[in-house]
Amino acid sequence: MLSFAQPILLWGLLGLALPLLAHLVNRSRALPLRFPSVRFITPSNLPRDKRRSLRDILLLLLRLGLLALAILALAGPQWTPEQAATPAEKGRERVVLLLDASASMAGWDAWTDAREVVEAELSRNAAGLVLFDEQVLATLPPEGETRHVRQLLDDIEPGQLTGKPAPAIEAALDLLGSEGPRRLVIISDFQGTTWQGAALPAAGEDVAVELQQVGNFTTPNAALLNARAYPASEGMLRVLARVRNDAPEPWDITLSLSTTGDTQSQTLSFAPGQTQTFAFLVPEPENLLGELELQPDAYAADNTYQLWLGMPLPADVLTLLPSVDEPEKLNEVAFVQKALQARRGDMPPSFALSGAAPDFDLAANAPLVEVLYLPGTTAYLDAPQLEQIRAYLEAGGVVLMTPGEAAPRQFRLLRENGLTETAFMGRPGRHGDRREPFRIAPLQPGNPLSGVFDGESAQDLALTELYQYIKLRPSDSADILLETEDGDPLLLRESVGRGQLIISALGFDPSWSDLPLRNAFLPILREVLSQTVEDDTVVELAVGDPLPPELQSQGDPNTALLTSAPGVAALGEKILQVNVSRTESSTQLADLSDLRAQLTRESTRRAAAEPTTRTIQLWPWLALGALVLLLIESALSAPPAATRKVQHA
Amino acid sequence: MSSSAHQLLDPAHLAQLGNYALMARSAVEGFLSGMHRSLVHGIGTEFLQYRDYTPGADLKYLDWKLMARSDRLYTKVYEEETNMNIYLLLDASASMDYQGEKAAVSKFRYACMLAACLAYMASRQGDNVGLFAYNESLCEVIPPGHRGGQLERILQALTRLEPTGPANHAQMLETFGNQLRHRGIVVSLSDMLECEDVLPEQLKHYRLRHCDALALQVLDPDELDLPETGVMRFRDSETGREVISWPDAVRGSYKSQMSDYMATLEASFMRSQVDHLSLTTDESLGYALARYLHHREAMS
Repeated sequence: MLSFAQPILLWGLLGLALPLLAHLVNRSRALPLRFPSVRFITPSNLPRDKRRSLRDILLLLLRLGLLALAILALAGPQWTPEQAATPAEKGRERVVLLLDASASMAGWDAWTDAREVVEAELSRNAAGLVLFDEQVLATLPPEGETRHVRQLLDDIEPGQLTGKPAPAIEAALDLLGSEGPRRLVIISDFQGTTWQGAALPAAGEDVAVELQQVGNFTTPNAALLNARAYPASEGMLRVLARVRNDAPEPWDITLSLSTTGDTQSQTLSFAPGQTQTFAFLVPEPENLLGELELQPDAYAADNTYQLWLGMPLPADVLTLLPSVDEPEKLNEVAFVQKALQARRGDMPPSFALSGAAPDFDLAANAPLVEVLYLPGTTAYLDAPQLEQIRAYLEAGGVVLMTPGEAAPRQFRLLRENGLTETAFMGRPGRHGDRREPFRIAPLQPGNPLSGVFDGESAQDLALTELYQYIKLRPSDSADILLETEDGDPLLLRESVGRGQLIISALGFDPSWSDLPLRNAFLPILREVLSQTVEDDTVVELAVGDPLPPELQSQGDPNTALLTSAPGVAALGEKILQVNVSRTESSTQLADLSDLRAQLTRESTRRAAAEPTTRTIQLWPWLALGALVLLLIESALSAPPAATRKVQHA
Repeated sequence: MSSSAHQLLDPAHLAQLGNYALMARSAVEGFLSGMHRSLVHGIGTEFLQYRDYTPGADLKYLDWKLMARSDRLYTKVYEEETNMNIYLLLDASASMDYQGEKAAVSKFRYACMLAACLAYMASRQGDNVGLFAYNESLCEVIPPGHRGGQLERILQALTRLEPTGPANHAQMLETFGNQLRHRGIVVSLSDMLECEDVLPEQLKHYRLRHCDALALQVLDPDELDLPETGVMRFRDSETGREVISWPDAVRGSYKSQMSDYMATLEASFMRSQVDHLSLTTDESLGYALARYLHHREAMS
């Protein structure tokens, strides 16, 4: 069967009238010629040269043929041999349902909606089914019986894994085949984290793609993002849990922490989209396990969090000793050392402090250093040393820095070396009454330190007298841990790569404030560092994630099953903490029009996979014919050697 | 004339030379190179050179002061000043502005090249040369002269000329005749179309004033046998009259009439005792220069 890739170009065949008109016009036109004298020239009849007329007609036909062939070649003619109708063409539309069974489909009533959509499709047509989460869970061809599809859906529920749609779409396209009318119905909640940015295979323009979005994301949901425990005073453990309110309105969210024989609950008020930290203080349980649980909401899988509640090993703190120009900073180091190494019988040692000269080779010893303490030292470091600190931070290290005499230079160097965007803004003016010191503002709920200070300890913190500090303009990503009553940040924490940079606007010695002399100093310093230092005994994984290579070698092959469900397990010296991936908690939807455009773009893969549909392109032959005609036309229309041109007026 | 000299006088070759001065010098020097002709030396006022005294030479040209100083005999040689005037009459009508396919230059350009060569040759021989270009009115008039850049003036005038309008041979030649005072040679450069009655008669009048006349007719080859093209709408350059004709159909009658006309014109010039030379624009300039020299010899 003859068809054209660009049939609209066939209108160009109307242009065949042009050479015809040109021949007609040229035939009756006499060329003007200025001549010196027409005295002896007499008018004559027009020539009747039969040979010339014949040549003209031949030229006309050649030009018409040339033009017609060129237009037809441009229109992209193709010949498809007639074939017997395939069974698929004779039959009805082939339909495949692509059903998302990732963890998020269990929430927001998405699975119920999806079952209804499937049932509606099955009532109209026989349809195949492809079920997927991280991988293709099941495939049923469209030729099968619909009861198999129903049976499968009765047997399978959404799991706890994230969704990866690309392999499933490939499988669905394979089921659809390459002939006849085809339709792919994708049923999913179309979470942005699953669909947006995924490299989806193209179904091609000849496959009708239908996107059925299920689930009601306006139903309120709170997501328990992560949690961790670390030692507190008096043999207690502090548990911090970050919770995000995904509801479109303010919401009071209650979080419970269950340990052996003990359950604590807290309730915080959340603004829409707000993330806050819950803080619990619990004794170390016997089985070292804990479970956090949110109140019931639209999506249950992110409401629980399995947690290991053991004591971590002491963290190594390395002090890069300050310059000899600032001997008073040694005083600060002494206070910090005492605070970090203070021991009581009921409190395990959390930090081991050591000192080193500023030219210490940090790059070589970075894995041994968990906290790098810089008491005003950064002002005296050179570019390579600052580069080493940046690399250390990006690799996951923790740096605590306090201001020295050269605070402006300190922050300028940090900014220039890409360590922070926090800027030095000067020193605050003293109050009119010099006897009135600066004060620390009360901690707000949701502040990571708010659970540490309550009652008398909060009062002790509020009574802290600040004699001087430096004014900072924090970077956008910084968390303010402490601030003055005037709103100036005193202690802030920001992420640099995988690490954390803790910046204090106070020096930790009595010349800046009386904080080092107060009871509040020790918990502030230890809590902030404890919250920041990663406990490398705990390995956090999402359900379905592969084990890290170092852990695979430690256990038997069955250890891979450890990540198949949420839970806490000991694997050698490491603690494996497995929870459902929080990417499935996102309520951001993918742009369906983008997805449709991506799916329906021209499929080169499908075209390559269709060797049976053989189409013969005719344009090269037509182009060749046009070339031959052009050559003949050129030869015929060339003026004979005797023909002379004349000078025209 | 040698073949190289002949090539130098080919209009196709000369047309490539941009200005008339270079063209005329190239053509004329090439033309005269084999003839060993030199300036006419003799009586005049312009000192040219010394020459050894030979017995029999006129003693009045002996330089006595030089003899007293050097005790040798020398005679002074002066550049002869002749009374010969060369008048170049140039037809600058629109009919001269035609260049057929066979010709290297237009008729007017060919006539200008001829005029330039003649002026150069006359200037080289010490003759007074002038230019009188016309169509239906006077276009350029340069009275005959010899010194002071006369040649340059003529060549610049030729450069300025543009062939336009019809030619009024009768009135213009009469105007020219009124100011003719001295003996000389009148050279008429024209295509001489439709003036077979006027031009020979006017040139005849000049002979009565002791002037020799030379009629150089410049034609394009197309004018002799029509261009070989299809049906054309011929438009007369001067009158604007149009005739639609197929050259192949009327070529026979045209050539016959043209031949008759040329014969009539030749007969008219013979009756007027005016030398007539018909040239086509693809012919060498040498024919015209040779014919001029012939007349110059006859006048001297």
